[in-house]
Amino acid sequence: MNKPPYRVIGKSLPRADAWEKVRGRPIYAGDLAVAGMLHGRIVRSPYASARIVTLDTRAARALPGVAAVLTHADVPRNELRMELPGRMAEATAGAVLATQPVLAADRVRCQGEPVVAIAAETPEIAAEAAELVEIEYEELPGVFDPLEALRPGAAEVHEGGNVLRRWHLRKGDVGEGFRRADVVVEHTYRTPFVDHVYLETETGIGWIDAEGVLTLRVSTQVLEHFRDVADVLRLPHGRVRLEGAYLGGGFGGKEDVTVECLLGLLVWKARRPVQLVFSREESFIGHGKRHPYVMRYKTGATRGGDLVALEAELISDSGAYAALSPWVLLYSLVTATGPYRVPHVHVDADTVYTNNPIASAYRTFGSIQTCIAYEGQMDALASALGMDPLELRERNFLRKGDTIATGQAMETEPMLAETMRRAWAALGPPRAAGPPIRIGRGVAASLTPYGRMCWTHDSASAWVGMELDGTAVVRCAAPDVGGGQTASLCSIAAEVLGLPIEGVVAVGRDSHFTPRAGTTTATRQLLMSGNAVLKAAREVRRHLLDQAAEMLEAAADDVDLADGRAVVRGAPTRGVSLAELVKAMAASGRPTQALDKFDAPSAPTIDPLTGQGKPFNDYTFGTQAVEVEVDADTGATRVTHLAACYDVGQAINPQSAEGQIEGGAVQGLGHALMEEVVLEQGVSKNPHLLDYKIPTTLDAPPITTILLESGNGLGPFGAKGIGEPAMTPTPAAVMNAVSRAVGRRVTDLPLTAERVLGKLRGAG
Amino acid sequence: MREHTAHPHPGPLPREGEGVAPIPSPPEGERVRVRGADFTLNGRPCRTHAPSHWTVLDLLRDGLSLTGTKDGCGEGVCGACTVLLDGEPIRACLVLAARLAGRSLVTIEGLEGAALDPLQEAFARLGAAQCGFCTPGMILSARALLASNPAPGEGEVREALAGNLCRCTGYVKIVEAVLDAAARSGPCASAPSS
Amino acid sequence: MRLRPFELSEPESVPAAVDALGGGDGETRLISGGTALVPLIRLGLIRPDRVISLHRVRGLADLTVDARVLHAGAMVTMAQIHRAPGVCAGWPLLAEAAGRVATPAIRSSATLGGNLGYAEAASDPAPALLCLDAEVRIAGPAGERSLPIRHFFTGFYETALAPGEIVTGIEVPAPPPGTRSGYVKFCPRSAEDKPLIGVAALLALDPLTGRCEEARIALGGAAPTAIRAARAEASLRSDGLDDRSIRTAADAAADEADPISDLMGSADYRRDMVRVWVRRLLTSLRDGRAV
Repeated sequence: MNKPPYRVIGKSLPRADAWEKVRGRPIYAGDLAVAGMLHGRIVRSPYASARIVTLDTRAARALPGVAAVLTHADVPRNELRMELPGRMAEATAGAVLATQPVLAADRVRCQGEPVVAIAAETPEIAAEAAELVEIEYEELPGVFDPLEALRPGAAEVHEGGNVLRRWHLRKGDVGEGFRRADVVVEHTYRTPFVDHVYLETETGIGWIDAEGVLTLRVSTQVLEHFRDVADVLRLPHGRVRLEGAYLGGGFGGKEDVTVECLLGLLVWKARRPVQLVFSREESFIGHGKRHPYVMRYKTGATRGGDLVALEAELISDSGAYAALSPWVLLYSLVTATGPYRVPHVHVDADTVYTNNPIASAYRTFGSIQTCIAYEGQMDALASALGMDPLELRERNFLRKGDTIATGQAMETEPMLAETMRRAWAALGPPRAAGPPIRIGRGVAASLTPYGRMCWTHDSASAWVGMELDGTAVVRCAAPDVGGGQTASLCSIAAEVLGLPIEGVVAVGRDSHFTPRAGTTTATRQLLMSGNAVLKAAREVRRHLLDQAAEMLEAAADDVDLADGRAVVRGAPTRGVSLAELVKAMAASGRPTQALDKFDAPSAPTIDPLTGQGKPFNDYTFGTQAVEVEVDADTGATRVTHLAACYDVGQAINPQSAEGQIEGGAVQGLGHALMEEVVLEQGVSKNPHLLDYKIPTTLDAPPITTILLESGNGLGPFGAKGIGEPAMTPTPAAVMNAVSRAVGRRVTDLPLTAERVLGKLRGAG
Repeated sequence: MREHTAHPHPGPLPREGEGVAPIPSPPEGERVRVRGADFTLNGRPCRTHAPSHWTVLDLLRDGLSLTGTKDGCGEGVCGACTVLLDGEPIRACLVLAARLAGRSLVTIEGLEGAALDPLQEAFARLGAAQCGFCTPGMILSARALLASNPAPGEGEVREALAGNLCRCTGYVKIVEAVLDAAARSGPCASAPSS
Repeated sequence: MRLRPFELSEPESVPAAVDALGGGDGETRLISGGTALVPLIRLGLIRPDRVISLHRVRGLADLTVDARVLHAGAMVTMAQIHRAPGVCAGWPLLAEAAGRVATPAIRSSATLGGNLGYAEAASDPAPALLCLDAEVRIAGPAGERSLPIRHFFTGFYETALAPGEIVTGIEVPAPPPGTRSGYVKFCPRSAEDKPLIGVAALLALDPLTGRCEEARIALGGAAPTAIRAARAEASLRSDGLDDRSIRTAADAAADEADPISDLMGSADYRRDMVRVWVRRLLTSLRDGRAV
């Protein structure tokens, strides 16, 4: 398709933040120290299910150098809630949302639940004070398996039962569908708790400013958490400000409140600055994980390879509290059928309370687990049909005009076949290996929503303004998790205003000083803040063109902005610098700035009993193909090549888009092969990097990335989102490749060597 | 088709101040012993005092306000705290500050001279830094590699960096950047771009 | 995260170090490289009130080789051992194993003495030192002594050090001329990890007959301590190095293993892996190619 040539968009320009990062200069949340700062420390429950019998903080409080030792009694409103302004009725309908306290009162329901918050002069004193807190626990029966938790008579995590939320998806008549099927395959897929393992743990520093505003500078994906802090402290929302430092990684793990409320509480009570940093062990134990899923799938197809019926039961382990589980489950429900046309669908999805760690947001937000299942099923069907797995997929891929099982029609062409063919081709000619090595190749196609659920009425604001020197400033409170969020906004403004990339600066991100742009989650920022910046920049552009038209005695439509100048098209000598324009505009009172808001199209939430409706505005389609070598004597699996092909709509910065895909794929590889939170009665046995392994340079394969640009995205310049989609198909592709190498379907993650060896030997 | 455009960065940074960098006396007085250390920090003499139980990482970040070196795990696994001691990579989170006496320490802040180190330039230009948290440790480990092996193969780069975890990049552009910097700094290459 | 405060002594001689270890109240620990000790302190698993660092002790960082013997002080690092030309030439098995310890930034600090004293079964150097019949030099209140390494590891993270004793170094006789040796480290989780199991082997083959004159096989991570697989060695010496006898030796080694089940793998899997990797290493040494 013909696209106008862009000057900045679509170029792999090094990001401004990269130059600072290679010097170690950015001030992450833990790098700022303030005079008189106290050090925070949290005392957490070592038990997964217990009653707090006694809690004695006297010795801790008496230790010299201790400024505050806080318990539940010190928390004005001891509740963490997921609030969606004006939409809580929809959000909570049918859900058993138990209250999650900031500090536990008489009961703890998972390991790591915070009980006491301490602030002291030095970290050493804070640690000593923590040891002086005396807590007597009485362990209570708990439930540690969601299937167990669903049985009658299971220990109840909260009053009201263990089912947190159910969703159902109904399309056609699945009984009829299976009657028409010539081949039916059934498997149960299982995934574990997985940790984000961002390099920077949860961190924040807070103080009370000159006007009595509680100010927190936090590594967080959500600046709107200032509301949670304000509610907990019963302060007006305007009196709590969250400043967003650059994050050393988020991946969804910093989407829920982590340090914010504890930090705010300590600062507010101690009346002094406080720094709170979670240790790595504390991070493992103390923040939400990826939901483990048990997914029972039954898929039927005709002899010719047409999918006719899909029945699935999804059960996710929410852990001790709700967090975002109901929504992760919704994503799973909507993606349960994959990027395929299936006439008859029956999916029941439950998210269940247990006394396991809390599970919440993690990159792909419930889409990665279903991909493992639906892509495993496609390969299983292909085997049963004696059909090429790529052909089977292509035959059933969604096309423009097809509907997914919720009834939503695809308004543009999903480039699924092309992503699949190109990813597969990038693996190159088949390779052979002698025993004991077995080579297997697998593919996984996927769909992942980008942008939030439609019922949230999502919006983002941005301000763009010109300075007198002809440069531009973007003010937008979009947290930067390292994916180039800030740089993209500058690229968009630069493109529209005719500036080189160095001519646009994004100044900070803050809940109160910069226009609110919402969360950096759900692969929404490019769509939302990107479009907000686009709108604001276009408005500024109009003013610039109007001024230029006057000064250059031409029609505004005949003026171009490029390289920091306004020039009459076709008459390059008739031009004026943006600096001159802006000065003239300032002198005459013409606006040089604009504040704008982008509203995503909205729709009611999907029907909880049938799943019908429009859950998301758009999806990113992509395929990954993987080659593995399995050592048949040891079960050890090595990924030797990974190829990924995505329709990104329009790459704002191809290098950044590739970086997301490469990073997502390796994170997915970790999930597939080596990552698992090992629990015993809800207590983690491996809350350390010594025992929770993530991929190193030696584990990461060569990666081929192919970007397709349909221009069909809803983001600026037709961009789609890539942050989460980058990871969705990786574990599925690895599972399919290993299944091929082993000669049997593997269904449980992680694919440890011991597990794969077991499969090779016929067990399990 | 990928385009890599060199981005002009701001001019050279001011050098670190002269060596003496005292830390506030520990409030507990005699309870925490403090020992002095004279060592070379980023090419300049440094005299400090630190409690006996402080690691090099504590000294850098809390004693000297050099926060480029990061605390990622405290177990010596993640590599975010990697600095160079007498040219060799060490884990600042594992080495006691007392070990610095008489030795030479280089942190990320000391890597650049009048221009960025070729590794820094390559990392920025090639997209090898996303969130940036692993970056200082990663660059210093690579610097140590190139000092002893100026023309490594890809396998050697991956081996040398196996102790620096990154969760954002998948390592692809990191390895590319190290190879690129090596090629540009080799005896046959032209002077590194600034 | 800060360590729990402790007093630090930096003795400058072995007697002073032994003295410091014996004196004082509260829990006292020795620190050499700190790569094992510091994480334990940080995680609260040990809580020393006094730490004695050996980095100033004269002579502990010396590494010398001659034609017959290698002397390495307790403070010699894995990096030094791996890089030293004399070690690479005369004791390639030790150089190789030292070079497989963790990553460069750990090897620069991790010491021989620390590795021995920690007595982790899944150590990389320990199987190599067992194959090389190293002698461990020890100093204590009663004076100096040395102990064959076969007697040094006594149990799960336990050594034969008496209270107040420290490892001051090792002496490693040169392997017989013409030996082939190799170390394999099996890490099934991520490629950078402690070994699930490690196998070190040293073979002396008769150049004319191909018979196995000397066979030493040591296993890491396969028992409460690193061990020599004596029965496997005996079977090789009597039966030679054809495929069948290598398999028999591998089976014997698997039988001699006494592994645990833990997060890295089950005991059964460890035993299976001993069998696989002993077979693979012996075969590769016999055939003169990489594993």
